[in-house]
Amino acid sequence: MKLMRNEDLERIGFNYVLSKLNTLSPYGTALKKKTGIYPKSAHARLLEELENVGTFIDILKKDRNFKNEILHALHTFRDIKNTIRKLHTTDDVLDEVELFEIKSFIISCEKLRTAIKKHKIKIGRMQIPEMTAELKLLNPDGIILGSFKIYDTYSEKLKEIRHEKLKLETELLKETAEGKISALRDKRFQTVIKEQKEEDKIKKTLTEKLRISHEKLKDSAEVVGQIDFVMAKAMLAHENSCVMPEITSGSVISIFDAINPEVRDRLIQNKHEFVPVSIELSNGTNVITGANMGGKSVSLATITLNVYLGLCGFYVFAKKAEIPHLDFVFFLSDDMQSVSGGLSTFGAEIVIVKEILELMKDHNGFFALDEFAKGTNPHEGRALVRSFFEYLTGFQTISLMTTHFDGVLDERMTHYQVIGLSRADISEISDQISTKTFGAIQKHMDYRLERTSWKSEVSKEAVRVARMLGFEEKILNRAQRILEDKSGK
Amino acid sequence: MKANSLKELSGANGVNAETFIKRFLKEYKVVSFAGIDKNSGKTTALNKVISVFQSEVTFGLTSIGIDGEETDQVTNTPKPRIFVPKGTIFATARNLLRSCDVTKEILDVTDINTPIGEVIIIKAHSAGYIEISGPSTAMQSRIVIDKMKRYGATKILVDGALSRKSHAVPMVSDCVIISAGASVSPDMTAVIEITGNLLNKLKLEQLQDKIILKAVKKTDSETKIVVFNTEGKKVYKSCTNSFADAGRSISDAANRIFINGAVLDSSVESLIKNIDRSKTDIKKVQIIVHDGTKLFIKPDLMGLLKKLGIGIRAVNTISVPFITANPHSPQGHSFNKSEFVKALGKKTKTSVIDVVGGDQYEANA
Repeated sequence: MKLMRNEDLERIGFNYVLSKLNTLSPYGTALKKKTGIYPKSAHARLLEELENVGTFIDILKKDRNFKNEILHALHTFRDIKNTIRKLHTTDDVLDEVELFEIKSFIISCEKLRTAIKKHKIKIGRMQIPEMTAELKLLNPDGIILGSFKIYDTYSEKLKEIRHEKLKLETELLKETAEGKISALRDKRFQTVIKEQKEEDKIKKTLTEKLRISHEKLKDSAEVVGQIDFVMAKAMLAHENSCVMPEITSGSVISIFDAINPEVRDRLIQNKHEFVPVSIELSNGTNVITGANMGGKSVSLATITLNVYLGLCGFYVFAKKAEIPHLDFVFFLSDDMQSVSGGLSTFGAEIVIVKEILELMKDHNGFFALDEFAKGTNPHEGRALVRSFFEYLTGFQTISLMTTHFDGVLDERMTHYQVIGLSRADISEISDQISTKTFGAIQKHMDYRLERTSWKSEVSKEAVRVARMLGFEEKILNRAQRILEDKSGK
Repeated sequence: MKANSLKELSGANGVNAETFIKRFLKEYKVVSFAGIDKNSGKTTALNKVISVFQSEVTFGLTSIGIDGEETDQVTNTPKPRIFVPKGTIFATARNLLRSCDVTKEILDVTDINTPIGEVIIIKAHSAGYIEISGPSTAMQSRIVIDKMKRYGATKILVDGALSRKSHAVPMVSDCVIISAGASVSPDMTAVIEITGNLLNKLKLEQLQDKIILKAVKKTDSETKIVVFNTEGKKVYKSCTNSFADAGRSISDAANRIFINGAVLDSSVESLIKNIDRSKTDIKKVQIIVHDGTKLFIKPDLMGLLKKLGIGIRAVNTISVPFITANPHSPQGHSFNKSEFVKALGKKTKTSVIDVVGGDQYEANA
C-alpha cells in the first residue's frame, strides 16, 4: 500500500515518536524499523498487537519489578541472525565464538521466558520455545555459566590431551637445560595440535545437534523481537498516558484531545502548553479553516499522526480515538521544497496528489493535505480548490484539507474552524500590542477546532495578527480601508 | 636458580632483573609497552614482565593501535610471541583465536570491531602462546580494560604503539615501558638520541593552570588551534591549520596556545614567526598539547623553543618507570650491551634494563 514518505513521517512527528521508542534488542529494533500500517488482511493481528500492548501496560501499572526484569533480559541480546542462517543454509561448523553466542542467546531467552511466565502474561503467539536440551548441550557441567568453552566433559580423549598439555607446561616451567626445553616445547606443540583436532571434532558434533534446532532459534529471535517491540510501545504509552484506539469497521474517525508529542515537547521547553485537538471526520471532504498562526497545520499533523499510529498498532496520544481500519494514510504538507526536484511547488504537489487520487479509486484511506494550490493566483486557486473539494466528496476515503480560500465549501462537506482570536478580549490584546511578540499571539489564540456550518466564512484575522506582530501601521491601515470599501478602490 | 645468580653477578647494581622489574612496576595497574621502532624488544620486555609477576597476579592482556602480524613485514624476521600463564584474561580479534594455542574459554564478545573481527575476551585455561590485536581507540580500550578487570584481571598489560595516530597509550595506562633497540640504527649514538627525544616528549611538564585546563578540555575535536587569554576565554579559534593568524592574535593578555592533534615543525615555525614581540613577552608564551606523543618537531626546533623560553605543557602526562635496552638487531649488528645501557640511562635520566642480558642502570642511584 502507498507508503508515507520519510519526510512526511518526519513532519507529522512520527519519527519523533519512534525515537522515543526504546527497543533494547537487535530483534526489536529491526521490527521498529519496519513499522508500517497493518493491512486490512491482518486486521486480527492489529487487534492482537494492541491488546498485547494493553496487557503489558496493565502489568507495568501493577508491578514495578516487571519493567526491570523484562528490560534486564532484553538488553543482553546480541544479533545472532547470521549464525542462525549459517546453521540453516550451510554445512559450516560453528566456531567457539558462534557457539558462545548461541549459548548467550539461549540464556537470555530463558531469562525472558522466566520473567514472562512469572507475571503470568498470556500474549497470544508470543511464546518463546523451551530450549532446555540446547542449553544443556552448551552448558554440560550443571551450573549455568555465561561463558563458553569446549568443555572437558564433551570427550574423555580431550580431557586426557589437556591433562597432558598442563603436565608438559609444568615441566617446561621447571626445566632449565636448553636442549630439554626445546624437546618439551616440541612435545607440547604436538599436544596442542591434538587438542585442536579433538576440539574441531566436538565443534562439528555440537553444530550438527544445533542444526536440528535452528527453527526453534529462529522463532525465538522473532518472538524476542515482538516482546521487545510491544514492551517499548507499552512503556511509551504508559509514560504518555496514551489510550488504545478503537479500530472500527465504520468510516468515521473520531479523536478526542489528541496531542502531538514533538510539538508538545518543544512548547514545554518554551514554557507553553499544547492545546489538545478534538475532531470527528466522515468519509468524503472535511475542511479546516482559520486564522493565520491558528495551528491548522499542527492540528492536521496531530490528527494524521494519531490515525497512523493507531493503524501501526500503537496506542494513541489522545484521550479517546475511534479509527476505521483504513488501507492507507497519506499526508502532504505545503512545505514542498524537498520534493520539488525541478518542478515548482505547485507542480510537485499536483504530481503527488494525482497519485493519491488514483489510489483512492480502489482503496479507502485517510488523506490529509495542507493548503492545496496555495502557491497559485487566488482566482484560479479558489476555482481549483473548490472543484477539488467537490471531487473528494465522492470517495470513501476520509480527506482532511485546510484552506484559506473563501466560498469553496458546500453542504456535503464537514467544516471545522480554528476558534482563533475571535473570542479574545480586544482591549487586552491592545495592551499586548506593545510587546509585539509571538508570545502575545500565543496567549490569546484559541487553537481549538470548532465544528461549524459550511456556510461560515473563512475567518479574516491576517491583519490583526500582523498588527500584533508589529507590522507597519501605514500598510495595515490602508489594507483595512481597502477591506472596508467593498469596491476596493 | 643458577642462571639467576649468574645474571645477578653480571648486573651493574647487583640486583637481578626480576627484582628490578618488580620494584619498578609493583604499583602500576595498567602498564603499556611501546618500542621506539619495530624489533626494538617490546615483546621480549612484555614476556619478561609476565614471567616476573605470574605467580602473584592475574594478567589482563590487550593491545592498542597495532596489528598482530606474526612476522615483521619490513624485515621479515619472526616476531616473538607472547607467552601467558594459565588463568590469564586477554582481549583479541576474533580471527586471531586460531593462532592462540591456550585452552580457551570465551567470556565475552564485545561490540568493538576491528578489520580482523570483533574483539573477544578470553580466559586461558592453560599456559600458551597468544596473539593479541585489540581495539584502536582510547575509548574502546577503556571498555576492554574495564571488562578484563571485571573478569578478574589484576594487572593489565597493553601492547601499544606511540604513533602519530595513537595517542591512546597515555590515555588508558598508568605508565609506559619504552623499548629501545639496536634495530633502529647501527649507530649507537643515533639510537640513544632518538630514545632521548622520545623521553623528552613523554616527560613534558603537565599543564597545571586549572582554568586553562578546563578550557582546553572543553575544546571540540574539530578545532585545530585555540588561543586562550589568562581567564580561559578564546581569543582565537580555527578549525584549519592557520597558525600564522593564531600567532598574530597572541599578546601578553592571551598567550596560551592549545594545538589539538599533531604538532609539526611548520606549524610551530609559522606560529612563533607571527608573534608580535612588541606586545608579547615571548618567555611567557605556552604551547599546550594533548600529550608528548603529539609532538613531531625536530630536536633543533625544540632547542630553539627552549632558548626563546616558550614553554610546552601537556594535558596528559605519563610516567616511564624504565626503558628496556636490546643491544642486538635482527639485521645482525650489536652494541656493547653494558655501554648501551649506561649511555641510554645517562641521556634519558631514566632507569634502563637489558631484560635478556641483565645489565641495568638506575637513575638517581
